[in-house]
Amino acid sequence: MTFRQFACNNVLRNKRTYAAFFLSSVFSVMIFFVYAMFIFHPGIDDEEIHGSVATGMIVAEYIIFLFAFFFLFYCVGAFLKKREKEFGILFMHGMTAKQRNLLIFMETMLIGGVSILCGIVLGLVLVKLFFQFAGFLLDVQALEFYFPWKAIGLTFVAFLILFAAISIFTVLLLRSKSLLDLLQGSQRPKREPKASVVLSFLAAGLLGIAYVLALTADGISVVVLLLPVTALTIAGTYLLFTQLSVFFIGFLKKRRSIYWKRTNLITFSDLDNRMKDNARMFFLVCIVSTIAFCAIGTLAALAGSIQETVVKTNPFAFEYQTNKGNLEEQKHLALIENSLLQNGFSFEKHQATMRLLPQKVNDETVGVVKLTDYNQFALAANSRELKLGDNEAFLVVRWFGDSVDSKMLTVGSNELAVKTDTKINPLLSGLDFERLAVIPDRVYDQLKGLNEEVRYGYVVPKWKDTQEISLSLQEKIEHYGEHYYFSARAPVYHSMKQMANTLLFIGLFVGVLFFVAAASFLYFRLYTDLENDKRQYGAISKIGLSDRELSRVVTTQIALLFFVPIVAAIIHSIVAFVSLQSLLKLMLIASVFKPTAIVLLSFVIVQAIYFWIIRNRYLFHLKRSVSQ
Amino acid sequence: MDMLQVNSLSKIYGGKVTYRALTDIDLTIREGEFVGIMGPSGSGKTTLLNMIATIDTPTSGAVLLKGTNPHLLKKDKLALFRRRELGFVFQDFNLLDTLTIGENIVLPLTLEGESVSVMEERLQSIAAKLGIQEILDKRTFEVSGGQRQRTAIARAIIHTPSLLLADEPTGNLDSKSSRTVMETLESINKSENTTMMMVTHDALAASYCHRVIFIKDGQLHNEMYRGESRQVFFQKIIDALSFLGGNNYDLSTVRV
Repeated sequence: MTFRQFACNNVLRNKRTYAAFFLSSVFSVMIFFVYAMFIFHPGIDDEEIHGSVATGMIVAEYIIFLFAFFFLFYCVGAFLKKREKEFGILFMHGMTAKQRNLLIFMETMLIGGVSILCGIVLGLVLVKLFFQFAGFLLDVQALEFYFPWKAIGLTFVAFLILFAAISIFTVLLLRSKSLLDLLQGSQRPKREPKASVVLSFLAAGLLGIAYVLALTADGISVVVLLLPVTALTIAGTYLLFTQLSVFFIGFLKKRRSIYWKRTNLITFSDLDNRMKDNARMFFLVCIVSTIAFCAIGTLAALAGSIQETVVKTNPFAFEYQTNKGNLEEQKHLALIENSLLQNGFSFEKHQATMRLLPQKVNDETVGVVKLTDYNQFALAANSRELKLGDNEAFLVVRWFGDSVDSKMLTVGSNELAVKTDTKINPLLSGLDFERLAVIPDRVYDQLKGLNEEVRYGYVVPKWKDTQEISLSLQEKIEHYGEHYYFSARAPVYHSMKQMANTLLFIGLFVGVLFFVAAASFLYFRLYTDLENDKRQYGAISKIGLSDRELSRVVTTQIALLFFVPIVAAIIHSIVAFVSLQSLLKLMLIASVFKPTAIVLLSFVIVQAIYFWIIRNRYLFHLKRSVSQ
Repeated sequence: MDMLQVNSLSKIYGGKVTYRALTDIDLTIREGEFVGIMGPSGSGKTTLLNMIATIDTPTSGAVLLKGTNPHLLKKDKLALFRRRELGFVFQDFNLLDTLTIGENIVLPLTLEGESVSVMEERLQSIAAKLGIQEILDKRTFEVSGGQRQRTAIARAIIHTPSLLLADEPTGNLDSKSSRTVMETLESINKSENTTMMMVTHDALAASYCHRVIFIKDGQLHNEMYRGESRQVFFQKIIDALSFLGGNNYDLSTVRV
């Protein structure tokens, strides 16, 4: 047996230990590779797929790569911890530190190399399905299969570097322990973990402050508070798992009426150690899940309310605005109407005339529109109609969050009191003026000799099908001319939809990757604990522990491992969504509740199924060894 | 020739309550000698062995193996020292589960970077001596405790170390396997002239030694040489143990 064979044997004969690690490596490589194939696809430059799709994928690639790095790095460290005794024996037989480093490097590279190959092969097998799915989601024809040399090269090199970096960092960060400690390894009884009271209260305090801030903030202050609240939550969560949980268990243990009650003694006795051991993992899983929940929930909400958003921002299927200097007005209008008619679309035409005030108000040029005209336009666009008193003017906000500073507006010889409502969408805007005021008909009619602009709005019931017409019209009528403005709703809708679906599509796979990683970590953790548990429960069952009691104790312990970080993440996300709600409303997303509930619920269900499977496997192994 | 020299070795465990585990131990082992260390629980036997094995470091005093003090060596040199000069047999065997019996045995040579043909040749000759040729391709969980311990012995001597250290080698074995293991050690001691030092609770195991040193409360208590008959020596050891004030359970460990 040469040294190289030795390294291989260590890995190949330890398949069960490395299975979860290997699978999540393969999965990361596969997702990375499939996205790379997408990015390098020769057909991606076609106009059909929006350029942002590829950009989004590139961002996703970075996320996957970073995540894979940290996750696998953590795994390798955990494996080494488990193998301390083995290293002790090897040192006893004269292994040098250099040889250990070489061994770690060779083993990591072996697993890494095989997972890169498997990931690429699996990616090649599944790519057709993936393209189909992408095509379906992005509403385009599925991409053709091609032989992705570039993607293979990129994936191969990137992950080779990743694995090499992981093994080098691992070796560099390895603390040298005394040989005695290594040899005794996990056999030595563990000390009872102590939690600091101050830090425990700090944890509760930080989370409390963060929640209160998040829940009471609304509107624009959500954005301001976003960073500090996130920082508070992250710090609080870390302390929650490392300190508060241990403190809480210690507190429970002091209550003998609880602690000494039947199997509680067994359940709790080990719990603080488990908590402390797993605190970092809980923390990571919790934060990663919170981010994933929030991101996917927001994306789902975004994707679900695209139509609403587009209809609000583009109140008409086609809009054309013109001022007096426009010579092509009739030609353009005829073009729009004819192509609608020719393609069999019914439409309604509305128009509103605006007049430009000669003086500036607050350094802004102001246009005015007659209340009747405005209301007729608003009715057609399903927007709210306005009511004005005789001496009132309504200033329309130009975008969400825009403010109106002036209190009075002088129109002609009239002084009008300014009203506004930030919740009303801007229905009209000007070519040559910046602000629009709606004024009473009487005042409007007194204005003479001012420049006029006319906005035409076409209501087309079947506007979703006007994509092709819109594109050809946009070719013929430039979006912005010097004297006119033309916009069509369908292309905006299609590109928004494609973008949202792209984000959803990317988010879905990154989310699944997170989930697989968290799941494989739990698997690894349990597998490490199994040996200890076998010994412990073997001893306890000799004293007399029924199968049912054993199941109950083990189920409780595994359930805590599975659900504690998830429950914390769900609470975090719910708070986040409640506070984001007001922000998202500004972005015209009506409801985050339903999509988020669906996301969280499906996640909990998947996790519960996984829990069920793992728990049964674990109990099976445990019972078999106990009954021996 | 003196193989091992231990000069006024002391070990104090620090911490909140300092604990003096060993006090001024002086000890010499000649080449080819087979020495047993006995004493009640907590007397410091294993601490002494661990310090000679370079697993633990002494608070004061020196350990000299063939004139070298391994505790003064740099880390890499120390690794080479362990690899070339020491062989170690543990109570719980400490074989690597991922390797076969044969692979476990050649492990020290693998670390040394020996050629495969040399390893193969040495493996066959040692396995023949220990009677474990048939199980070389088996994995550790497929063989009996006695076979595992003989594997560990083979691993400890395949690189012909200057000193073989054994910590309760029969502690986890039944009486028949214990006897086989001790006979194996004795015959290797004779045929290879390997110097051996063994810590044990087991009077029967100790009776295979040339000399038994008794330790009590971290200090040398007395030593006994074996005469012609092992049976007589065994009886003398038991008498000495009861004189030492050891309780009955110190006579032999629980058989598993």
